[in-house]
Amino acid sequence: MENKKIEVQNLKLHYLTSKGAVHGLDDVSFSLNRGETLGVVGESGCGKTTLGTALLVMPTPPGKIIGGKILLDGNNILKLNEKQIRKKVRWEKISMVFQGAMNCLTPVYTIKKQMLETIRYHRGEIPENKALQRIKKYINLVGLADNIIDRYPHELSGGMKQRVVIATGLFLEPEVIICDEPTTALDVVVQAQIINLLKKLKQELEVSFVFITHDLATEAEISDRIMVMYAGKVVEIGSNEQIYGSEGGTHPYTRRLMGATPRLHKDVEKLEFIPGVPPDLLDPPSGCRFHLRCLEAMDKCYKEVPPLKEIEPGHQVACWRCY
Amino acid sequence: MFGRYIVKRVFFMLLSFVIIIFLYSAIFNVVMDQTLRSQIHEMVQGEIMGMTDSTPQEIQIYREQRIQTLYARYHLEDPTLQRIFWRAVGILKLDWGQASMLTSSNGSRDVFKIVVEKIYPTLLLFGIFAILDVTIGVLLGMKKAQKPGSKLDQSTSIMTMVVFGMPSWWLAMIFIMIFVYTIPIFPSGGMGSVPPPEGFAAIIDTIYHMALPILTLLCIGFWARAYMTRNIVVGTLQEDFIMSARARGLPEKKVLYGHGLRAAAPPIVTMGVMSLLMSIQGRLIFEGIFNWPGMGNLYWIAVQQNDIPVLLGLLATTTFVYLAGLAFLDVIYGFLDPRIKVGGKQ
Amino acid sequence: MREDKSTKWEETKKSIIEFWQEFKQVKYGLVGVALFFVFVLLILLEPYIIPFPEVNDRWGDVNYWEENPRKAAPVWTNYFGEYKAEHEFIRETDLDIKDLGKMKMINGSFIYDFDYDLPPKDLVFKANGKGNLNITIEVERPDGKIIEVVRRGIRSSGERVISLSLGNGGARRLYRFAEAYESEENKERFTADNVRSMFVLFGEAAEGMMKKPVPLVGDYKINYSIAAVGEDSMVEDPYLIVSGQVFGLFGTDTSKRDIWSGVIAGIKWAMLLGLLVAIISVTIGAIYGITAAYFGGRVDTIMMRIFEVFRGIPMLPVLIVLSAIFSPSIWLLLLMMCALYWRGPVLTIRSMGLQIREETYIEAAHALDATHSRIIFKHMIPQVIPLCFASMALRVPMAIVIEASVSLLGLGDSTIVTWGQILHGAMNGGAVLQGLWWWVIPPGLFIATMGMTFAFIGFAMDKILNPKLKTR
Repeated sequence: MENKKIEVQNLKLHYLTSKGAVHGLDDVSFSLNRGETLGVVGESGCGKTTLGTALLVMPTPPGKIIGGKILLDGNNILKLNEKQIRKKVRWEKISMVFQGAMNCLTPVYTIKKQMLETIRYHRGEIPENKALQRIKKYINLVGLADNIIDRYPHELSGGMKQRVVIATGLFLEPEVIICDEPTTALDVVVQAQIINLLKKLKQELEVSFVFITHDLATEAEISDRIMVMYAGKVVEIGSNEQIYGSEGGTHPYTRRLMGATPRLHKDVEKLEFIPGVPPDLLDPPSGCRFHLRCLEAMDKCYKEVPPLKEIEPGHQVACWRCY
Repeated sequence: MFGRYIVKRVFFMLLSFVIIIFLYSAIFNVVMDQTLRSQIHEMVQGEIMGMTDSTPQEIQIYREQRIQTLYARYHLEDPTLQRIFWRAVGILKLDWGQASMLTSSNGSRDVFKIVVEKIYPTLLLFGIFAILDVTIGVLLGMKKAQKPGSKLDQSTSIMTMVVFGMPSWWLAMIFIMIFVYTIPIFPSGGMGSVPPPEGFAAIIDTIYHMALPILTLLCIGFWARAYMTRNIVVGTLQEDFIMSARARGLPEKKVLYGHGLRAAAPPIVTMGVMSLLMSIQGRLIFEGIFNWPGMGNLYWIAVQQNDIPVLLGLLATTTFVYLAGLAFLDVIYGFLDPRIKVGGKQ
Repeated sequence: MREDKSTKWEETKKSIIEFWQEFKQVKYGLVGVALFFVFVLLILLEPYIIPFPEVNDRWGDVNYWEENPRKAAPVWTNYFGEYKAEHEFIRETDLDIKDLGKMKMINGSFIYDFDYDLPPKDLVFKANGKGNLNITIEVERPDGKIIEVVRRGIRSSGERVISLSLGNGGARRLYRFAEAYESEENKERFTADNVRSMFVLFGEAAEGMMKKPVPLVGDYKINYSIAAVGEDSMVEDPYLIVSGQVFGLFGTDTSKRDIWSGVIAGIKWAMLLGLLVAIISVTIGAIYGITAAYFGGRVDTIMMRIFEVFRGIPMLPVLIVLSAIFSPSIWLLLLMMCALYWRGPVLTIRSMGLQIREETYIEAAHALDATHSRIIFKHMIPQVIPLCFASMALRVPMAIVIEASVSLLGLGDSTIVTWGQILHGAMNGGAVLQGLWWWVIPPGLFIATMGMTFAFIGFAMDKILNPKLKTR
């Protein structure tokens, strides 16, 4: 119980567009323990990034969180006002490493200036040399030289920028770091470096990670537990072994995801794919949202929404077939 | 690094100026020649008038000789290209010849002097207007950007479009009809009353005369700037680094101004200076309506008197100012955008 | 290849329809389009809606406007303020011709029903005549007083138009008439040369009739008596012009020209000039930009250097000086504008072009051995066309204002009527000084409105086609 860093209960987030409400997240519930890495996987548009921004209570406009709780160390942060969230939650407790670090750094300021600004805002007027000490420590930690901080973002390569973003996410020593596709835009060599770095950090710093990606391979390397999302809902949560293991997951969607991924050690004759397209979240399908593409759909599946139920210790599934 | 950039821009600007002067010289070649010839004839004629004791033959010979000499001095007998070249050189050396009709305030016929003394009034009027225009425009634009789609945003955008095609000089005519003749508040024109007052009263007097022109210009001016500022800022605010700054817990004001406005500054400044430069063109006509004794007014007078040398002198000056403005713009942009200031990837 | 064309067309049609759907939602865009069609309609209806259809060719022809009142206010101003005399032609008259052998006596009269606050500017007697004529005109007022206004002899061997202004010709007589009733003070203020003839003629015979009379309402009989001496002398078709204080929808100017006709005639020039300049200049600029982007490297650098030099040429001053020297026709002016105006879109289009160039389908086209022009025109240019449209729309107002500015200085094409020309006349004619607002406001208003029209359209297009501006 006390081990739970974050607990999300029935989180609902809708995008209020001119055409109507798009169901970004519906009834999302999960928990994140201290020091563990939770991987979040799913197709594009399944709600992974939305979840990331929601955890920072910063839904992308016109999104609005309209229900549920986000408990951080037992306190519901959704109840706090904007100023409190800004000072106490964002970057203090929860930080984020963004997708496509290309544009995450303001192009007109040096790295040093931006990091100083952040630490000054959160820690008050600390003397510059102390601040720089901290900054340099983390810059070095991510494998960059000291003088990087005097550069402007456009002077750095993609990999370097990504590392800077990681350093920025770390240096206030938050307890939870949300990584949203941190390696997607990078080439495989740099990708490997970043993943190793994150693994190292995981060991050394006892930080909890939420690792969002659609790349199942990197997910497998770094996550302790995996959460599979589809169409704004959680369909399966389990340990690395339970999802990636020999059975390849339980939920039909998970299994097809696994099936669609080529393996090095398995002989694969034909790559499977999942027919159809993700549903329109402006008007989500009834019942289980996967039923239109599921080969094992039953009658019940399109009438009633399957709840997330534990089928074995640490393993939850939302599927009528799997209980 | 940045210093080199400045030097490059300035150099290129000067080079452009030189090229353009040569272009002007070529285009206006024929006209300038004719003007010069007739001026020479006039001058020689004047000299002859004073030669009362010479015989007609002597006068004839004198005239021919004189004309020959003068033609040679001004390269009028040279082939075309050479003439073009020499004239361009002359212009660059600020030797702009004599005006056909006009004189400067102390009677000089030197085109350069005539033009130069008109620069100050134009600069004064235009400078003050520019400061006001930019300030109001950018502030309004920022306000609009904070709540895009709001009533303020939409109504001011409509205003922008309404005045978009309105000539400033036309509005000037109307305002004069209303505020000078119908409800006499402002003076009808000129830069100062006659007789000119002294000391502090002179300053007030100038302001009094500047009021209506500036008011007129403002009515049309700042809307477009506000609209574009708003667009640029809205565009910038959608960038990832804004969200990133917010996520880092920075207060909204800091995000909007420190990151948003600062990052949007280069295009805003560019657009700002650019539009000011473009508007120079309209203002020239505008001055004439108010009889404001600046360069624009001089254009009017020179056109009416068909004084070509003055027109060309004006053209050279205007072009120079314009180019200087462009160079200035490039430099400022480079300064604000580190991508240029510091250069590309390592 | 055939398929290629038809699917391209399908695609284009689809995107046009999509665009239109979005465009419909922007209210001011629709207003712009509506106004645009109003203008087009006015152009098409021009010959039918203006009372002076030859305005295009005869704007400068004094004779064409001869019978109009000078500096008359628009007719509808009669709804506000003083009720001003309207412009009339009185043709009905009973001609009584007495043939006395060597001489003919022609008598007749016009009846003018005067019921206004402000009398007409003048009464002009017109007829065709020939030979040796002695003309006498007298006015019989409603208060019974009869004033002999004009007594004139005209000699003409050929047939010519007789035009006698009662106001001018009768000034001295009317002054004498008024003398009898006026105060000393007023008599000192006015002389026979500057007396307001019509005020006197149509005013009650009392003190103050020279300065501001009480209008004498009623029927006025203008009796004329002409002695045509000699066999060949004759007079025919007499009529009376009551030169109104008001005339037409937009009044008249100091040269008696009907401003409404002028303004309406100006629409087509503005539209034509504006659209042509906008389209041509943007096209040149776009091609220039794309070409520079496409070829890249040295070609790009050279082209951009040239561009930057041109960039430094301020357009209007150069146009002014060129026009002052060369006195261009409207077409030459158009050409000059295009030559200077193409610079604008080059930068944006070039950066777009640079992006497009990196796309793989361009590489593919290269691999298929397509020629440069084919790639440029078939693949790259269509991409930037949407951007171009917005740019074109927004340039029309500028082009119109520039032409108007040049014309305002008197350097425009004086053979045609443009709004700038009309305003030039206004400046020269001292419209501002004399408060002839109907001369100044309508042309400028039309310029502003047409500018507004294209601004609406252009901004609406820009809003849709420019992705950065989408507010969710």
